[in-house]
Amino acid sequence: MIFQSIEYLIFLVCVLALYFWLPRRGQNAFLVAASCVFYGWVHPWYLILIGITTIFDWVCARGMEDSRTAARRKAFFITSITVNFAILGVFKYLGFFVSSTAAALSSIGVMASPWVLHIALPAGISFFTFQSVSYAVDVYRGRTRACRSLLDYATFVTFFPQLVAGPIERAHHMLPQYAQPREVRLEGIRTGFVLLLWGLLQKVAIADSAALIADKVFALGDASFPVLWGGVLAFGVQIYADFSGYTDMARGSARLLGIDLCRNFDHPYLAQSPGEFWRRWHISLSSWFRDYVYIPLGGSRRGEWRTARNLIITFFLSGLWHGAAWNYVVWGGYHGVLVALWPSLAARVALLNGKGGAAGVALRVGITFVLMHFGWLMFREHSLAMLARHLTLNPLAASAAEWRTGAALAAEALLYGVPLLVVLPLLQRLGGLIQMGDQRLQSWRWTLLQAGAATACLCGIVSLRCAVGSDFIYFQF
Amino acid sequence: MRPSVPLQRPVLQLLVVIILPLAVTALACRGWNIPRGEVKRDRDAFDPPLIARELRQEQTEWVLIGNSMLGSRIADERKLAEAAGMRVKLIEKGGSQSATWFLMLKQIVIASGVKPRCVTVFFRHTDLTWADLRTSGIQAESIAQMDGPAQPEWREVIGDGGGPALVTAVESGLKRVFPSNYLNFEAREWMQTRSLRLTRIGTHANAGERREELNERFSLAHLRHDLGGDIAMAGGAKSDGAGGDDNEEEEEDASYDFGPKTFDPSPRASFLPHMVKLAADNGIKLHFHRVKRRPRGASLQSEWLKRYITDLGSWLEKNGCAFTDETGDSSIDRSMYADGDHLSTDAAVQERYRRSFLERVMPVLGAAAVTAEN
Repeated sequence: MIFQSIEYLIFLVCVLALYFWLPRRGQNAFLVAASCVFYGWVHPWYLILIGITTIFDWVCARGMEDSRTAARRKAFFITSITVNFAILGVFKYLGFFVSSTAAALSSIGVMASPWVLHIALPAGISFFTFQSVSYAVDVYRGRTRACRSLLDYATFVTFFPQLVAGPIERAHHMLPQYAQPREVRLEGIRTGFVLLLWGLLQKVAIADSAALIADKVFALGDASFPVLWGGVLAFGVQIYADFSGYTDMARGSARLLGIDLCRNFDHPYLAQSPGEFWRRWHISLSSWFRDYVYIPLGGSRRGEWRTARNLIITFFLSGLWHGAAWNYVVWGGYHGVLVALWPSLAARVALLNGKGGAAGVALRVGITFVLMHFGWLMFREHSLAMLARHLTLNPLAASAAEWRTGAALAAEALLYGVPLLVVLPLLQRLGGLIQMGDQRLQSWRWTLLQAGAATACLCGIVSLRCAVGSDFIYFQF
Repeated sequence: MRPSVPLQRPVLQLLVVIILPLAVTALACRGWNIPRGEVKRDRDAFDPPLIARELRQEQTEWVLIGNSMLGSRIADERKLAEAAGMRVKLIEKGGSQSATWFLMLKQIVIASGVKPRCVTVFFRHTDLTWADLRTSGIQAESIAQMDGPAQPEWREVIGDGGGPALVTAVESGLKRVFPSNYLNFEAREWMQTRSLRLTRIGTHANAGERREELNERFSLAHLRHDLGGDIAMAGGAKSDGAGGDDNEEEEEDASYDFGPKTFDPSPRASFLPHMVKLAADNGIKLHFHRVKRRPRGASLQSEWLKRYITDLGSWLEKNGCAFTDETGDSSIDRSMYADGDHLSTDAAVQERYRRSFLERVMPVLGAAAVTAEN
């Protein structure tokens, strides 16, 4: 089931109508049942997989906590991690590795007939696997108590708003919320409603419209420099609006149910360095890699070279997390190198190091924006041969007509992106508009502001929605 | 609930945040959802009652139905009428597809009371059995003009909205509360026009000319050879392409990936069986003509498409319809094409095409005349 469908609207209304009448355990049981309906709507067999991993991880976590010896504790931990990554590996990466190996062998003259599994990739497998792994690691390290209730743990893994495309939550943030009964909070319903509409606007009006432009450009076999970059810019708008829109709809839905999900985006295109971009983009994934890969590798504790190595490994794995394809690997590596090199560059160039006032900020934001879009080119272009071609394009060789076309594509994408790239950052000061627990929400002034925001979102949805809907990009991960 | 805040206030605030935006948006939709510009022109240009009246006045003998594939091949119906020696009427609407063609047959030709000798339907690729292709957007206008969704055949093929009853009811309820088809079209047009105006680099071309320039840039000739296809079908632009070897047949087209891959004659699958039945019930000879797409040469016609066309042809003949196919006709070469699969409206090209078309369909018309006399 997808958020921007009538089915989801009906589903959510039905869930809300029953949910608050139930006691705490009933609420959790109902959420698990509703999540099964949501997740198994198209492919009911997905439920078997998530059911197995949920029970397995719950048993292993309890085993870890109840173990009397360190060896036994470690055995439970390794079993849990191995099973999670084995499932992810089989469903997401096996076909890629088999076909890549066969291609590599054939390039040196060894003809292998690849036994490639064509397994359907269950939606959201990377998300719920990472969430489960973080739970296992946290319990093993003693940062989180193992959840004694299978029902509460199943609610944590399967909670439908964040099941398919995150945010990747942590047990210490979510389990305490499921341990409490949820009551009707009118303030939560208000902010949830506004968030839902804002997310829907981002998806159906901004992301889908930008997708039309990007898809057209990446279908060209002879894109010139300006046309290509018009398309890359459109993709930059698309992927941000698409994923941020999904996250806001997830957070809005959760808030209606009295659950608070973490923030996943913080105006990433206003970042002043690649490192800052990753602290603002897909925050839950970045922090997952920081906590469970980068820091265990040694983080920044062992000198510049080791730090750079750790960053490159972390981003390489992050690239692979996004998809079983070489372009994602290249993209991850690119960001690793960028984040690793930036501090030494900034140490040499004052303007990159927080100097220069407003002009310096604008310059750093501009440079980071361009670098990130260079990354999006690698992310969006699935053909390495075409990517190589794109990288050799000469801007001076393009005609005026090509520049006009490229500029028109970029302008249209940016026009659609105005609410996301300009209006929202300006409204950041009005954070209380959608922040839970803000005392200002009780005033009429803020109520009217919320009503105004909801009206603007609704008007934007009805007038600018794109007739051609596209899937959420992050569903494929 | 905080005790210092009266209970009524949070409830009122909730209502303000939910009800006010819904009400304002619904009112805005009602105020601004008016056909303008291209939508209005398109609506005004296609006038089913007027066409039906003309059919009656002229006592048309041969009706040709189709989209721009027909319009670009038979640019002048009078010349076709002279060459064929009968009264001819084209019911052509750019971008229309099988749902609209079915309605043209039912709501214009048959509703007019005229009994033409033959009705010819021009189609491309698998359009004839792709029931829901282009039933929304700007095409929804002409479909509504012909009362499409109210037809029992429509409900059988498309359904009331394509989903379970509750989903359909909610969807149609939302459409009633927030009518926004024109508003949506206008707003999106405005966005594109604005972006074109903002980027007039070294040109005085207006937005319309710039749009043409854009369409040409994204035409088939520029697409990756492994993609092909009319991406405009999904994207709403008006593109098509060029290039390749005249001797090659039609290549695989990615834009048809979502269309039918096998021929299904069941009345729930497409409007075709309903057209055939309607024509038979009203004693009209129905003829389907498959147009040759622009020769591109990258690959041969796929196996599934060949099988589809063979099955379609046999089924049509079995059901008393005529079927002609110009796909393999080497006399229709690439030089005759203007953009995409459209033929040039140049007089010489039109003359060449008319001759070859009449040669192909005259036996059908002859047989239709005999049937009509009997």
